[in-house]
Amino acid sequence: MVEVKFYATLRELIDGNKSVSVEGAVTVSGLLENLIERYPNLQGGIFDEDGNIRSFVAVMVNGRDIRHLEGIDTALQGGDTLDIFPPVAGGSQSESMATSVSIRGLPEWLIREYFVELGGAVPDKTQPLNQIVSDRWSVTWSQQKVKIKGSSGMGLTQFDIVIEGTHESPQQIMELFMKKAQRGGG
Amino acid sequence: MKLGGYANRVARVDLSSGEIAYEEINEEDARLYIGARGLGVKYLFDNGPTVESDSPDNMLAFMNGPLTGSQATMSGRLAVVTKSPLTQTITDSHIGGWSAARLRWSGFDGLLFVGKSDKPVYAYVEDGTVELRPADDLWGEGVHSTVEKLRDRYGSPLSVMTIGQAGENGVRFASIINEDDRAAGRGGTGAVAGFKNLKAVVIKAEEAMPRPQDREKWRTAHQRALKTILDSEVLAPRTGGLSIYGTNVLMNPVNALGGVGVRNSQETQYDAAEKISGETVRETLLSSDPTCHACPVACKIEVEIKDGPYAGLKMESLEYEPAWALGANCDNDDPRVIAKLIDQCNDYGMDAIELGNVISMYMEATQREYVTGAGLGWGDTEGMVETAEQIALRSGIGDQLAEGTTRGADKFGHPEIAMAVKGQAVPAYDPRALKGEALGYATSNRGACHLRGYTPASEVLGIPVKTDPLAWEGKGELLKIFQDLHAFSDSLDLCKFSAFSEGAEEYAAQYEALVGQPITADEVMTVGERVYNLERHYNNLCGFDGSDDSLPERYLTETGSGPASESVVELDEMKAEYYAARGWEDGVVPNSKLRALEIIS
Repeated sequence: MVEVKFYATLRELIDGNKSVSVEGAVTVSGLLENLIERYPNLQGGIFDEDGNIRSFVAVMVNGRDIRHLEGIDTALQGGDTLDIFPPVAGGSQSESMATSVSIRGLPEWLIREYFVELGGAVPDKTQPLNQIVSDRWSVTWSQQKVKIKGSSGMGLTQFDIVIEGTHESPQQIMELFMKKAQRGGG
Repeated sequence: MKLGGYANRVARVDLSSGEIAYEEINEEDARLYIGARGLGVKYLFDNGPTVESDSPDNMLAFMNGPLTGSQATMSGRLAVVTKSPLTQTITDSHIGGWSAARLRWSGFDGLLFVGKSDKPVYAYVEDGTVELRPADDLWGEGVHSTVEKLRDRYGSPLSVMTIGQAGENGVRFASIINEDDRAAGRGGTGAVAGFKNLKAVVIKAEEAMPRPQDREKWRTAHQRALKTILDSEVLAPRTGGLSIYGTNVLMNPVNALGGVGVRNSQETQYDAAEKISGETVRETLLSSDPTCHACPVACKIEVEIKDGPYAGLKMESLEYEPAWALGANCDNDDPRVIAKLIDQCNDYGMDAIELGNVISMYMEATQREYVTGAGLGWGDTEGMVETAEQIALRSGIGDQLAEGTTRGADKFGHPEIAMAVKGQAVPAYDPRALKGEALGYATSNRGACHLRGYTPASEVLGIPVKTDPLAWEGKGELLKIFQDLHAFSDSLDLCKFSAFSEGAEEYAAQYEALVGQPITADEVMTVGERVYNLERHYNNLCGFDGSDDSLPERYLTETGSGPASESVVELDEMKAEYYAARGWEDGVVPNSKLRALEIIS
């Protein structure tokens, strides 16, 4: 049996529950199919029109984002825990060992600097540019271009950031990061 | 005072007696309230919150911040702070261009005007001194000719902040205009100057930037802040949307959300949005893109009208706010007429947002047959230009409309057609489509305002994180953060645009290096919160409470269009969430909060 936890707005799609147990799924893909049979509204909450997992939805297996595993083909075993985060910002308040956020308006070098200021190791040249590691947590991000609806004149780069923690709550690191990343405008 | 960066000199000008006193800045106040908006509000507070807006006792403060006129990017800003004749609240209105920098270079952090002159005067500022000089020959002149006459008289480098006929005539939403076309637009600061018979502030000064206390730290802090701007996809010179198209780049995306109010907010999506958008203006009218002191973004949109009744008109700046207020809001889809109307606002010295709303209110009154006489029909562009003139000169129907949207609608006997909060009209984001802005309008300390807490950064652009514009949950906390951050940047005083790419850390680093006073990012947010609460406390002492944090009934009961077609504003729920985040009791700051923020001891 695998336990699947849902967060924030996704809970509305599973009748207000916080988690659901699923029997017999051997991959993430199979598990999601099973869930959507039970809760058809989840289809639009998790998948886009092309049947891919929506870009800001984060699916974690035992605290690891499946983007860094085998994607929807990631194998599951009894006792695994899944976390599914909706496309909202600010990280989740769960007890999970991973948390995610999607941010815009910051250049990548500044994201890197912020995480170094929070205790991450200064990356050497062998490391990927989208990763900062400390001895208590690690953070990775992917980026995508988003078009502002209705505008021909503006597009923004969005960074989908995932913090995983080992000894320290990743939510705490996320909170400190978001204080640094707060922006306004006008 | 030990703090660096400041000129440590403020002139207190008594227009009744003609006496001018020079003061240092109180160091404790500077630590607590920083400068510009924050320190200006403190001066107003100390002057007494219960003074009448149209009495000699009201203070009109022109306040720089410690970063104004420095090397800091986007630091060409000052705040005009006074008690508003439009809202009877505290108000502050910021101005770009070069006047702020020149005020600092001439040796001042601020000018505080009290009293009332018995004859028209202007203040001449140079080398750390202020003189009052007769303005009889300027009284009755528009902004453009006033600026021209003063430039002829004093040569360059000169900055002029002046009122036009609207301020002289007590139009309640009269502005103070800076160098022809930059406005301290909102709140009626120009009416206060006019009441005091203060025509203009004239500043002559060569560049003399304040030196940072810690030059090493300054280099690092300045470079990091500048680099965030140069790398910003919103701001970057020549590539960022706001640099290329100006603020009117927002017309299309806000319209796509169903957030562009049409015909006095009777609908919220405009068929002709594209025709008045930043993209179209750039293609058809743009002649130049000027900038302000220390700013590489150059968001200003100077246009030249090539045909039609206003051919030959060259003006700046065709911004999103007036393009909405005088365009979609009045069902006027001709950007040339919008340019003409903005130029009228610049020359008469009036707030273009309030003008658009007062005209759309008049148009709705006409539609519903509340007016006697012909009134003004939707999209009647010639009539709009004529009405704008009547308002500035207070002739005919203009005398009623010069009182502002709320008072003007009251006189028709139909307060429900005034799209205003606390007497100030709404800006260009319909509350039904952007719930953060709905709450922002309702709770703003200066009446409806998009700049107290600019939640469209999040709700439209997704900066720093995307929130659902139609959802109300969480907007209370979001708005508080935006309001506090902006209250700090307004006190430095850096342009609001800086916040698209800089955050509390970048502000803290620049303040610390320039002023020589350590500050953390958390303290930056606390200062912002303190400023916001002092303003609220001022208003509370004037009798404002939670019942004034309201919205026009239309936004609560009539749905919008497009994506907002099912939406009304959940105001009570949002206010409860917001007050909880603020620690206020029904819109009132409790004493415990005032003490915690060191506003009272």
